Amino acid sequence: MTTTKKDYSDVAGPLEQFEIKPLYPIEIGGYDLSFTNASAWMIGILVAIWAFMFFGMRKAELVPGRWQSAVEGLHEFVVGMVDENIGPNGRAYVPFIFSLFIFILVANMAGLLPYAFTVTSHIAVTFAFAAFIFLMCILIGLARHGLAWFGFFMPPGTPWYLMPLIIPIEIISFLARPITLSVRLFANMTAGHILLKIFAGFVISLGLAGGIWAAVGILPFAMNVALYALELIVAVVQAYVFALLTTVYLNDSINLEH
Amino acid sequence: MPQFDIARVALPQIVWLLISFGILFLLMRSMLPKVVGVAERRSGTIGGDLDAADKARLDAEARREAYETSIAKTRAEAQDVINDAKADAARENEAKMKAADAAASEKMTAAEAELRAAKDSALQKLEAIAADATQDIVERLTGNRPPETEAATAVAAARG
Amino acid sequence: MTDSRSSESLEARLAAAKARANPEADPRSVAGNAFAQGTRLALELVAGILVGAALGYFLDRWLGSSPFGMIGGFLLGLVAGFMNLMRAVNREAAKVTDAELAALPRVEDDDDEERLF
Repeated sequence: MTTTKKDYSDVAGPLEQFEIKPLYPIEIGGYDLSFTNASAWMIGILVAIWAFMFFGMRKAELVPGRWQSAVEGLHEFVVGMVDENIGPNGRAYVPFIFSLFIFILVANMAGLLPYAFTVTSHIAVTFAFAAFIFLMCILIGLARHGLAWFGFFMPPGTPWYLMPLIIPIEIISFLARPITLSVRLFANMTAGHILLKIFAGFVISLGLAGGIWAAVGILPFAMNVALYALELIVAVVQAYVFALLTTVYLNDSINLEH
Repeated sequence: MPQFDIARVALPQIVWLLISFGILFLLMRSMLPKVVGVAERRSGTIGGDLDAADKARLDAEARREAYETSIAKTRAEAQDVINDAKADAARENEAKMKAADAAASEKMTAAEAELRAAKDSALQKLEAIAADATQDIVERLTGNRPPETEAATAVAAARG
Repeated sequence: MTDSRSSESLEARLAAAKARANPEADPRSVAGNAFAQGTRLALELVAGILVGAALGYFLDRWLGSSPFGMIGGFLLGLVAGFMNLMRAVNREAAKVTDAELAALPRVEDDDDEERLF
């Protein structure tokens, strides 16, 4: 059996898929702004979404074809979400929510392609989104309601003696928002991809071991197929949750109700 | 995990994310009005079509009702005409019957009167015959022929 | 004579077409909503605690009040996390009315599709 023994070190580890590899080094003012594989995927996602929208809506017919229906359905879905959670004041934010939803959705789905890099599996990306939304909520709240927006941290009907306790709690729960928002997406994407990779690694190792082990390799392979289906659902659901929570948070700033 | 190598990994990703997402947002903002426009146009058309269909339905319904009422009216009129005709016929019949009745009873009374007259004349004749017979019988018995008036009186007395 | 049956079916078809043109809340979307919300609840608690503890830690560093800031922050964060959790649950509970619950199709429990983040 010694003849079949090989060096498997060329088989990628489960974490290698998250590695950032500069494709075209750029440095501005001492800062590393290299065009990396992540950047390439982001641009690819952008182009894919543009193509989806452009070719879907090129004719913009009253009786839509399949493709146009898909575009319109997606838009209708986002509009429904905004209407339900924000109300009539929310229509102005539909382009933002739509961009957010479709970007994360396509990023999550694209990450499931073979050899793909998952943009949303990086906490830096998800947290950048979450932080941006967090700041946006504060700015919109201040712009729409002025200083009255800080009343958001004082639930109406709180007795005065509980204020010193309630206000810090409310502030903490507000600060926790970007963390839950970003960590959920990052953790879901990362965990799923690590699992897929690990089981795929089992399949390869068992297959290379030969003989009876190759037959056993069917088990992790079946597991991987099931996981893959699950990951597809997770990809959609997580994009949906991210967009949904964004509308919920925006609603707190726009309509200022507790 | 490479993701937690923040110092090395975060900055280029965030910058490129800002670039790509920024472009995406601007693109979507320019493209979505078309989607909204189509959806509105369609819902307007569908709503208009549905309203038109509904109106046509109501129109048809109204016409059907009008047709039905006109049919009912015609039928009622026809019934009236029939009833009138029936009533007329009945009245005429009755009148004819009455006339026929009157004629028949008239004839009957005439016949009765005639009968009575015949009976009376027959009776008179019978009395005359009886008186004659009485005169004959008395003449044969007594040989004496009584006068005619006496015999008639006797017959009348015997009959009474 | 009049054919009232065909006019009735036309009426029904028109009503159906109108319902399709202006759809009410789709029970499937309600179910999907609840499923998505379920994945976020556990994380709310953890994030609340983390933020509270972090705030307490920085307060300690600033005021030199270690370890009371951290302890207080942890406790406040725990409460805040619970509050966020309750709010998330309440928001869902408020959204799903009895009528919508009745309209939900009976589905198998698909808990295995959830992940605790």
